[in-house]
Amino acid sequence: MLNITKTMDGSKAVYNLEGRLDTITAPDLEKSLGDELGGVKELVLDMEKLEYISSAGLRVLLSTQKVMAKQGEMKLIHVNDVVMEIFEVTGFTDILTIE
Amino acid sequence: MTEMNNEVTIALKGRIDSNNAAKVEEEIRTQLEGKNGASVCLNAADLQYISSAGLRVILRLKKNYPDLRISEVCSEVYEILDMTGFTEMMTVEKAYRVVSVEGCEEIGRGANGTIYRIDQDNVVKVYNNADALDDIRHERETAKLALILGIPTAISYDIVRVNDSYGSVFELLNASSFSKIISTQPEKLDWCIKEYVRMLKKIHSTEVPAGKLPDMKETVLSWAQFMKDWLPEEAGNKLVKLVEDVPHNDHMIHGDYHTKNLELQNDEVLLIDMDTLAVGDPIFELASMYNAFVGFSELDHSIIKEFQGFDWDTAQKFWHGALAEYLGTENKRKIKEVEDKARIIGYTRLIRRSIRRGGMDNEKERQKIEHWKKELLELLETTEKLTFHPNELELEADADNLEEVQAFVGEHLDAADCPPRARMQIDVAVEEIFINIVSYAYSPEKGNAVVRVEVSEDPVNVIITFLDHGIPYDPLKRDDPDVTLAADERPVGGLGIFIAKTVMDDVTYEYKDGQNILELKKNLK
Amino acid sequence: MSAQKNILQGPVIDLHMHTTVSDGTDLPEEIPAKVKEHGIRLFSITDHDAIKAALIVPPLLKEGDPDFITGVEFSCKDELGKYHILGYGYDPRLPSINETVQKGHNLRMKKVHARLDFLKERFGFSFPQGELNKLLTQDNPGKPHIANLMVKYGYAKTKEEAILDYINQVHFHSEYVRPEEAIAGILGSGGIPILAHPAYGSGDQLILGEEMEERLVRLMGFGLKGLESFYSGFTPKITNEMLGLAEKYGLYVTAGSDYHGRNKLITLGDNGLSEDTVYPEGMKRFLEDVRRHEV
Repeated sequence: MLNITKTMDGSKAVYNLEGRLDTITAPDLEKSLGDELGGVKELVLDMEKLEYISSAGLRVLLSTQKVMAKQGEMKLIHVNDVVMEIFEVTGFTDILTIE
Repeated sequence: MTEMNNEVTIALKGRIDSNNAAKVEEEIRTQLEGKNGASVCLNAADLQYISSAGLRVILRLKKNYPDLRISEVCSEVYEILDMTGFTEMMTVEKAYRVVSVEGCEEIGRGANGTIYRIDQDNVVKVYNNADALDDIRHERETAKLALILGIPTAISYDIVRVNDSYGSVFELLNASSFSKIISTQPEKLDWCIKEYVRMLKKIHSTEVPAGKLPDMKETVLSWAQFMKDWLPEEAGNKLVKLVEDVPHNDHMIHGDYHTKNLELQNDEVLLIDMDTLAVGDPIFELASMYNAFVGFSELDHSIIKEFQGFDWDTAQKFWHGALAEYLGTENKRKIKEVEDKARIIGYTRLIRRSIRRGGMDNEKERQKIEHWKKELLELLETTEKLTFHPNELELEADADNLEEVQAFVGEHLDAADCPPRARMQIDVAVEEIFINIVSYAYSPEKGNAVVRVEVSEDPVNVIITFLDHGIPYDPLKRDDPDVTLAADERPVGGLGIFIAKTVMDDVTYEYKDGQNILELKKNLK
Repeated sequence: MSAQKNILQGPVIDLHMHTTVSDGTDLPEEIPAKVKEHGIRLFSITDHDAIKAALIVPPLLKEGDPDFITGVEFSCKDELGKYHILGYGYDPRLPSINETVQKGHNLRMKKVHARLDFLKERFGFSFPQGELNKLLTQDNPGKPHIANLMVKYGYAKTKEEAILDYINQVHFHSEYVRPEEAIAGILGSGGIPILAHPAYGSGDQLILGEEMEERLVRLMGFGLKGLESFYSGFTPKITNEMLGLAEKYGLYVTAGSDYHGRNKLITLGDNGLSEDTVYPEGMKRFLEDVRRHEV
């Protein structure tokens, strides 16, 4: 289960992710971002309530990062320990902007 | 007078005193003519009184027949024999006390007898078989064996006569059967399920020395053989083969494990009705449990109420709750898989039982048999083996099943008190491996995967094994992704196996017996 | 003779047996040879309420025959029960013992007459005078003798039937010699009074424990001197209890089979003594103290 809450503020988009970002839910996030990213300069992914992430989630984050690198910036906030650990072992901490 | 195994039994009747002692002695001597060296048993079941003149007859007889013994002595006569030292000189067996169970509460009923409470502290199990002495001795031996092996049970301390049959008496202080607790205190259902399963697991983990208990597989095999005459040839053969394929198991099974045979006595859970104790695969036990809670009353829900005291819905709740608890999972697929295996044996037994009781001559019974047969045939179509692995789940390798796989693994991790961080890591690894199978093993066809969870103690290691029959493929051979690359240089994908390898302590792969076998290992301390 | 006494050991003593003088089947004259055959070295004949054998046997004994002690068994009764009291080593020529025997015989004859009268009145059984004379001149006639006659004359099929269905149909308030009379009679002729098969009362009771002890103490008050602790019908447990009492009260101990010839399935010398039995003090003293009369 993944709950996605979007808040648009001009060219800034804030995504609140709640639940699990896995094989099942990653396509939902991917679709949601694909529909909305046009014109977005600043993308914030608030992961305070994200409990879980797998490689399927990482894949979405990586493709999104590649898109955003061309049109602005993307950052992740409020990443919890377990998710952070996955970022670390996969080298994602070096790729993503994590606050 | 009867003669058996070189023992001559002479019945003594009424009174023996100075009026008839000489005559009795003469009669005994006449009966024993030409039987020098025989073992002699005086059966005193009908002897009401013996005076010293009678004692002298016995004493003289003892001089000629040193093996002389006296059986079924009533308490009055026993007292005399004891006071005068006869009990020290020869075997004197007391008569069985006569006990009436009229108006007594029935607290249990098994295949071989019915248990009644005769007073606050004692219960008597009355055997159906009128000549039950051997059965009683057998049950006493089995109960003793169980107790030695660590199964809490009551052991009978006396044998009594009840009407025309025998009963064995047990002390059961302030005890209530689980059936009674469930019927009178519905709020304790969950507690009962837990304790019931705790005992069941204890029984099934008890190893029995070879030859001490009968092998349930042989019994079930005889049921299956019987069924060959009543099933289409192919189905009959399959049934027999399924049973034959169950490997020998020298762990204990109770054989009649339902809630009337479990007693709560002063906070201690006791097992009773031990005459069906055997060794064998747990599926045989689950089959008899299925019949107790479901099978017998499936077509007439009033039966369960009559037998257990609680209603059908409660019985279903108990049975599925117990099965889930026993298997350690709420997974419906898993529960159904095991239940279906149990049903195969359960229906086999029901059909055989009904046929042997003349069910084919009775329209109503014949309908039942037809129903059971139909169910059995359907089950046989889809079942390839009767044994089960409680920690193993087989399902289609489909991404839609991911959540189920993770929940199944998660239940076992919770049971092992897995710390949250490790739980998350394992969760991720399970996803990566399962999705890998989903994506590559059978593509574009469909196929099944098996996931097995094992938790070892000391050190606490979790081993999760994935098996599939897909194309042989070792995902560990793939090069690890370069995690130092910048985002736009990184390929999207290829991370899953790497994550699994990284968060787990050990990941191994082998291809064996046509299966990809991938094993994840994590130490939990 | 005292030398012989001292080497007695094992089952070589039998001090309780019956002859045709009472309800046995052997003649007193036949006994010495029979006891010798059974390896018995010391014996006594103890007919019920009769001492005829004490006069018959001693003259018959030859060199090398077993040693003999005079004996008798009185059937006694008082308000508290029935007893069989054995008397040993009395002088059979002395009046005291003879008077007691006579009294017992008279009471017994009175009962025989009463029974015969009853059978005639109630059932119309009568017997030829010759048979009656034979019966009444016997030393010690009783129920069995009457029963035998009834069978002989077709009034009953068996002896048991005669006794149970006819003779026992009436219960006489029967008079017996009182225990103190029997004891006094024995003592008065130099004999030693001993309680026969103590735990079995007059033969068919079972008296043990306190009840036995009370009974014993009462009889000791009359002059009883010992207990027949070894007896064919006793189990080792009963014998031990009797030996315990004898030791406690310093009593003599004797051993007897209660042999009755073919009338009972008792073997001569069967009294619980075995090769291994260590004679208790009370028995050794008895064997030394009891007088062997030359008649």
